[in-house]
Amino acid sequence: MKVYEIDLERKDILINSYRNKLLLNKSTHIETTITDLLQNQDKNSIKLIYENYGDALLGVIMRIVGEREVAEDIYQDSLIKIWKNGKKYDPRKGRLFTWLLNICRNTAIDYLRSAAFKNEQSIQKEDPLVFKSDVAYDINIESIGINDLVLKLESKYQEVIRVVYLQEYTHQEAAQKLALPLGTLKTRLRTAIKLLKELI
Amino acid sequence: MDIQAYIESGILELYVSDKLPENEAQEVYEYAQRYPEIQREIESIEASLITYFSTFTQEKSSQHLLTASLATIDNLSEEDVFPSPAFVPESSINTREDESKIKSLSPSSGNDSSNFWQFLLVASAVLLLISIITNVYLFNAYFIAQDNIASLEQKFEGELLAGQTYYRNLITDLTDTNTVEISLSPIDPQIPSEAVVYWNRFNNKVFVQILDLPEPTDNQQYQLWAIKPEDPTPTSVGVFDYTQLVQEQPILISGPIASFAISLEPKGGSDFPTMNQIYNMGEVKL
Repeated sequence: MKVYEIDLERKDILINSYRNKLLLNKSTHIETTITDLLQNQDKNSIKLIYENYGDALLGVIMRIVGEREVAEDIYQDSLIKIWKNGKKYDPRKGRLFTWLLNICRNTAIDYLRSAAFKNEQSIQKEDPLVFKSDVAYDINIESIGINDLVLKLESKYQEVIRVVYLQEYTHQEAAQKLALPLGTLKTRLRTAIKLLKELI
Repeated sequence: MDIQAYIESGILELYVSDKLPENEAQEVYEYAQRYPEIQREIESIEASLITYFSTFTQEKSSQHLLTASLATIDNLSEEDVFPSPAFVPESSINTREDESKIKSLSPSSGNDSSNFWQFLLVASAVLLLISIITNVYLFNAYFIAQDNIASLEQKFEGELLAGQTYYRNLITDLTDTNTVEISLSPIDPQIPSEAVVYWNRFNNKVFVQILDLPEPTDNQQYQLWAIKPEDPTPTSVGVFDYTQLVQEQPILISGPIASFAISLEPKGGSDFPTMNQIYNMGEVKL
């Protein structure tokens, strides 16, 4: 019986040391830190998200809704949703950035779908799901002078990134939307990201 | 697996977009854990997208957005924050509900017999629930214990088998017709010491059996030496463990050998025996 107890104790020590090793290896990753903080309902998670992904998330919302002021409101709502749902995030199910992006994108799309928006748009008889930014963004390029990066990327690559990352389509639907075979969608997306990497 | 081809397929870009079917996403996750190149590529795709999306803001997001969001979070009540279902055991919720039922019934239960039966019913339900929870808990504990016993049994069987093999080989070596038994007698009759060396003339293996030797200190070790007939310099046959009764020496020794000797040396052994520390010696008689 004594041997049995010692063995169980040893097993626990082994499991703990293995787990610590794993934690240690990944501790440099900001995602792990944020995930842990979200799990522990620590407000620093929101600070770190703001610092590391803030501009990108606000950018995504802006690209969808088009107006800075509205985008900022949606961004704040999104941060609060992220905080409220922090414990639900599971790294095994997807990347942290993707999860954050989804919350922001869906909040922005929900805004476009909202009754107020529909009413406002019904006068103009526009489809609420046609991204406001599709129109407004092009104008902004002219008026504000956008970062060179966007201008340098060919429009078909900008489009594939927009359809895949900023809209709610499945990958098949995205391929249909762009009238591309699925394989071509994948390679075009890969090329788009490669070009981005070169431009950055 | 051709990692480069996998990366080039564009599947990782879709993974980052969360557009893959669940099984494919799971596969990417597992590969990323296994292959650092895939993990790095995913991170690099993300980094590019983060930079790209950041350009959409035209100007950086101002700090007041963070401050305002944190203030809203501070004002959220506990209930507003989504509780994780995984951390609230269902049993605890049920028990609490049932307890509240008992409390609401008990004040009016005084003389009313129907209330008393109701109370009894609820009480039995609670007891049944507690019993079920305990059973589930004990049943799980039982299975865990069974698993542990099975793994221990497996471990002991392995050790037993290894032990059996070791002793079978030892017996084969010691009873081999080429093995010569050499008794090593004490040099100083005042210090009782006795050991036996088994030397196989054919395969040159050497075993030492300690029958009686004074216990060495922590920084000392006994060392076995072989002395060749025409060479006065003893050859080391390695140090040995004082606590082990019979052991094979790490060094093979080929004949002819005139005698074997044991000396006490500093831990790790010496190149040459310390002459006043030779305890036993025995002549090889063929």
